[in-house]
Amino acid sequence: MAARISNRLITLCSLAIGSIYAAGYLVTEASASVVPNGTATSISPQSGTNPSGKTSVSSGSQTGSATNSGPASTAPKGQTHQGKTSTAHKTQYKDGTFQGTGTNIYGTVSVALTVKSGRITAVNITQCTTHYPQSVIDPVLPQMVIAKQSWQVDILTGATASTIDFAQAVYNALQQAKL
Amino acid sequence: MGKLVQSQLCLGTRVTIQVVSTRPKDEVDIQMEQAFSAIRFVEQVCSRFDEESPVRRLTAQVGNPVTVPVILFEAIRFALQVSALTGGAFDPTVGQVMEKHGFNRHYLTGQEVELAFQVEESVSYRDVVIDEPHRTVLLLKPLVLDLGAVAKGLAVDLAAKELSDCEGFSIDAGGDILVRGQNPQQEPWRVGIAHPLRKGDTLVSLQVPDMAVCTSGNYERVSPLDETIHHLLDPRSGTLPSDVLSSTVLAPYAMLADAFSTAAFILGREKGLQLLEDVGLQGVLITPSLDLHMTSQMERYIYARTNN
Repeated sequence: MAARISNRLITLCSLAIGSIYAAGYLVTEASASVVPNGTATSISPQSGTNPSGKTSVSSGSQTGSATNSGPASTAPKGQTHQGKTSTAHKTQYKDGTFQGTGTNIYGTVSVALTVKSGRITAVNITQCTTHYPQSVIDPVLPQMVIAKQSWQVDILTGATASTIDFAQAVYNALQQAKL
Repeated sequence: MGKLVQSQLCLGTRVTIQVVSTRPKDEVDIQMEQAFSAIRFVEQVCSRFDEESPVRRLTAQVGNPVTVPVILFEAIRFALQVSALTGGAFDPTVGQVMEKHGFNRHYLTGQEVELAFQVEESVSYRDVVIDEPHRTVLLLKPLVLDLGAVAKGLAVDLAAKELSDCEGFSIDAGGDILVRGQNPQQEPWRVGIAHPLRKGDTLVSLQVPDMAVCTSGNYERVSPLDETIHHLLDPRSGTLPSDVLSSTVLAPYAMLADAFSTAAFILGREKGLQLLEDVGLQGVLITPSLDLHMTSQMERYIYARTNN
């Protein structure tokens, strides 16, 4: 009896994940954020270890879709509805410089974020009162924001609180930049 | 075997993925990024803390069947199944009780979410009706769905699917852990259960084959309004279960392990263990005296215990 219930629950999980996959859930998100195979070597999503000076690496990420693995083309109707719920990478920004601040019990980080032609081109840390010196997060995190065109940066090992402050500051600046 | 580790901020916590693979770093990097994308996608759809999220928008529509994204539908369907199996000890309609206790801020933006309606005191999972063929959800009363326990597990499971080409990996989403294959030392992965009273310490470590290990503990999230209130409320009474400090459940899927670790925590030592035995899952409950209460087959996963 016990085994029957857990087997039924396991089947339920398996079906749930299968149907989410069949609906092509990653169509929008993954294709917008994943770099096409050919250019993958120019970006290092690994935090900290490889602060490549290429701040201009932003790639035509809106068009890449080669690496999506879901069987999207066979998805039943309703898939388009699903895709629309993901807007993170479609957000339009207006040009200008926008301020944002992030605070937690460990301190505060403020940024001035510049948007040109709809893209994030610069992130300057204007205030940093966290436990660690600014050099721990600067220029690694600003470069990551520019590369990813998103506030969702990797967490720097050992500097979680500073990273969260920074991400919150960028998020708040982007809220003001939203069209 | 190459090893890659990456951490990102999602699901209101720090998510760390570690991959052990002979495959080229570039390919693994891409799959890791896809795994994080999957997690962020679930978060966007299922977050109670985002006014724009589909789950939040569903909350505003009472009395009409609403077509929802597949992820949301599956999360709700699974949550309702577990609710029925646990007699409501697990219940996704606990959302407004949580908000009343101040669990109402987005973890990143700090923005409060506001309820647009007066909440009726008594709601339960029976007030959520799903229509499988049409993939619609109907709320019979104004209520706030809190899919935290299911959505986090689901996010981890989807991330694991993205990484299925890698020989070994671990996904650690703060309380929800899923491991596959072997660790960098070519051994089965070891997973620690946190010491409920000493932050940062491990009380028990487990060695597990391909498996999700989820822990619900009362020390993890505390109400900003009242520090005696934690995030694991009994949906049936709105009260705080007190006879266990944490509950850990093993299962092939994180959504399954998380839902039942939550339910077992709420039911407490005796009924919680009984539920796990009835359902056929293994787990361990830790009491305030730091005693371990285990299901019948749990011992074999214990790798080491510390002396409190």
